[in-house]
Amino acid sequence: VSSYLQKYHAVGAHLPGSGEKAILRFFASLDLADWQDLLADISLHQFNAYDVIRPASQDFLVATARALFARLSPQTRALAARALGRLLVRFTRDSERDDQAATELLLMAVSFSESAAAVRTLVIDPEVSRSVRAEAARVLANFDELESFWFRLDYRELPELAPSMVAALATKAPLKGLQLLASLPKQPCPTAHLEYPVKAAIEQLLSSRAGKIVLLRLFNNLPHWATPLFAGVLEVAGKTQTTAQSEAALTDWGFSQTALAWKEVAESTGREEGSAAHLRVRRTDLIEGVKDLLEQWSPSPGPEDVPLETRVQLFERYPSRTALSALIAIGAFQIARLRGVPAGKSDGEHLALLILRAISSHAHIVSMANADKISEPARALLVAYRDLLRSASETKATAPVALEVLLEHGVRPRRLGAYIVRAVASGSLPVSTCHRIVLKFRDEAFVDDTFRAVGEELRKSKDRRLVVAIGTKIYDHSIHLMKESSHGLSVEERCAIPWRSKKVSRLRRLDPGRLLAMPGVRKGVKKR
Amino acid sequence: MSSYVHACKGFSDDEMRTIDARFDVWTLSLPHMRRIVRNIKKLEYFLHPDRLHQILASLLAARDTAAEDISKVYFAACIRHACEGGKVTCRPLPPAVSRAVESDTFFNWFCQKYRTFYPNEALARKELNEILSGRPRSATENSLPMSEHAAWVTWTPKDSRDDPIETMTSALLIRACLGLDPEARNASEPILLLIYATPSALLKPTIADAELHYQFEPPPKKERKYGQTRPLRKGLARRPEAIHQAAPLSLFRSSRTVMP
Repeated sequence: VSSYLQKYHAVGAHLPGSGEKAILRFFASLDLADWQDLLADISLHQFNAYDVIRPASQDFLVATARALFARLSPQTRALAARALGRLLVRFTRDSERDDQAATELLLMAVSFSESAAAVRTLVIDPEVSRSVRAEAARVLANFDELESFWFRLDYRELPELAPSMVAALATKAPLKGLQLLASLPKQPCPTAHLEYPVKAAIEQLLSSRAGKIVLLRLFNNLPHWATPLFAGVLEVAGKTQTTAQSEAALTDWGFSQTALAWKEVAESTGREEGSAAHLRVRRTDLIEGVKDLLEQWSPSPGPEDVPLETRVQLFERYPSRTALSALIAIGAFQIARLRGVPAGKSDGEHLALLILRAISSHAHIVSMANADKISEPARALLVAYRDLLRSASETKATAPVALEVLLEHGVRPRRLGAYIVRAVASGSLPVSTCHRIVLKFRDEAFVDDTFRAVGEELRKSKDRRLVVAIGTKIYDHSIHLMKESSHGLSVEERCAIPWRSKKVSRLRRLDPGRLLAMPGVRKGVKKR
Repeated sequence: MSSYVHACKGFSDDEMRTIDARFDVWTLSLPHMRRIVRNIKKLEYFLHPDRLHQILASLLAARDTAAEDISKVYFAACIRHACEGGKVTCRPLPPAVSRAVESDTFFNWFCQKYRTFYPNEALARKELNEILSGRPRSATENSLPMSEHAAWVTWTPKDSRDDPIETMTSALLIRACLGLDPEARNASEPILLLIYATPSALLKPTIADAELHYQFEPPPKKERKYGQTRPLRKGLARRPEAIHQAAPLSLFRSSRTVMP
C-alpha cells in the first residue's frame, strides 16, 4: 500500500463529511516521495488516485486534483512542484518513455509555475517526442516566460508549437507573435488550432489605437495561407480581406457614414493607382472630402470622438494609401490656408501639423527620388510631398509647424538649411524663430551644421538681401555664416553686411582668405 | 425482484458465500460502503442481471481480499458496464436538463480537454466564460462535447412543488439536493449550473454508473421511469436524475454560477 494512502486514511480524509481541512491536512502531511507517488498515480490513472482525489466522474480526475492543488499552502505547493519537476526529469531519462503519463503530468504542471524549468527542458529536448514537446509548449504558454524563449524555437521544424507561441505572446507582444506566425512559409497546423490564439492577439492589438494601425499594416503583408485564417477570425468570410478589414476598422473606430463613403473613394482611387492624371482628376473631390473631415473635427475631441490624426492615419493605410494620403494632405493643407490661418496655435495650424505628420511616414519616398527606377504613384507622391513642404514653408502659420515636423522625422542639416533659407526668403519665418525651433529639437552640434548649410545655401543663392537678413539676426553662428556666405561676394558686399555682433564686426573688413586662416575662427574670436 | 436476485442464480452456494464474505470485509473496513452493498443487493433494478452477474463474478475472482482491493476490482467492473440502465421512460421528456458541476473543476477540465484549440488557460477561460454568458458560438464550438463520458443531469418535473434547481441561490443547497460532494471538501467552492436542451437519449442511472459514489441510491421500486437523487439533508425532496452520453455544446442554453 502506498505510503500516501496510509496517511490519507490516518487523517480520515476518506470519511463522509471530513471536510476541506482534512484533505488539506493530508496534502500537508506528504513528503517528497509521497508526492511523487501520488502525482505518478494520478498521471497513470491508478485506482488509488481516484480513491484520494474523489473526482465527480472519471474524466475529472486531473481537473479535480488541480482544483485541490490550488488550495495548497505555499510550502506544500513548493514540495509538490518539486516532486512534479523530478517526475518530468525522470521522464526525459527513461529509456522507455510513457508519453501518455508525461502528458498527464504536464496537465498538472499548469498548476505549478515553479516547475517551468523542467517543462522548458522538455520543449527544447530533441529526444522527446513531438507530441510531448507540443504539450510542454502549451504548459509554458501559461507561464510568464521570456519572449526570447519563443523566438528561439524553430517553427518550421516543429510547427505544432506555433499556436502556443502566438497564445503566449498574445498579451505581451501580440504583433511579434503574429509576425512570427505570418513569416512561416505554410500553415503550421490546422486552422482550428490557430484560430483562438490569433483572435486573442488581434483583440489585444485592437485595444490600442497604435495597435490598429500596425494590424492593418500586417494584414496587407500576410502570406497566402494566412489570409483566410485572419479573415475567418474577423468573421468576414465572403468578403475580400481589404474591404472587410477596412469596414471592421471603420466601424470599430466609430466612423460616420461620410467616412464610409470616403472609403469607397479610397477604393476607387486604389483601383486606378499609378495614374498621375487620375490623381489630378480626383483632387477636387478629395478636397471636398477633407472639408467634410474638417466639419467633423473639433479641436478638443470628446471621449466618443475619433481624433483626426487617427482618421488621417487610417486613410493613409488604405490600398491606395500612397496616392490618397498625399491628396488628403494637400487638400487639407489648402483648406487650412483658405480658412485664413491666424498666427499661433490655431486649429488650422494644428491641422496642418497633423496632416504633415500623417504623411511624413512617406518620407522614405523622397529618398527614392535618387533611385534609377521610381513608380508613377511614388513619383506623384514625391512631387506632392515636396509641393506641400514648399507651400508650408511659404505660409507664416504653417512654416514653423513644417519645420518641427521635419525635425521630428530626422531631417538632415543640409535639407533643413535649404528649408530655412526658403522660409526666410519668403518672409514666412524669421530666422531667429528657425534658430529657436532647431535648438529645441537638436543639440548645438546639429544647429552648427544646420547653419553651416544655411551659409552654403546663401552662397549658392548669392542673394545679398538674404545674407543680410540672416546674418544680422543670428549672432552665435555669424562666424560660420560669414565664412560660408562671404565666398563669391565682393569685399564691398561683405563689408556692407551690418553685423550686429561686435566680435564679428571687427573682422568685417578682413580679407576672406585671412579670415579663414585665422586661428580660433571655429571656436570664436578672442579679443585682442 | 431486484437485479441481484436474478444475478445470483448463476453462482453456486460456495461462490455466494465468498461474495458475501468480500462484501463483509468491504463494509467492515469502509463503513460508508454499506450503502453500495445495499444498493447492489436490494435496490438495483435498472441494471440487467447478466451485467450485475459479471460485476459480482469479478469480485469473486479478485485475488486480494483487502477492502481497498475489493474497491479497486469493483470500480474497474463498474466502468465496463456503465450507461446500461436503459432509456428514461417518462413522456414527454423534459425540454431541458440541468447539470451541476464544481465550477473550478469544470473550467480545469475544459482547459485540459480543448487545449489544442486554446493553448493557454487564460484564453480557454475567457472563451468559456463568453460561451457560458451566451455569445454566439461558431460551428467548431457547437461541436465540442460538454463532457468526456456520461454526465449526470436533473430537472424539475412540471407537477413538482420543489424549487426549480435552476433558480436556487445557494451552492450548498444544490449540493445537498443532488447529493454532491458528500466529503464536503468543496463546500466553499461555487457550483456551475449548465442548462441545456435534453439530449436525445436520457438513460437511467445504475450502480455501475455510480461506481464508488456511496451517496447514490437507485429509486424506489414504484419510481421506475428515471433515477432519483438522494439528498444529503433531511427535508429535501428527491429529484429526477438521469445520465446521458457526452452532449455537444450546440445543446447549451444557459448557465449560472451559484456561490456557496
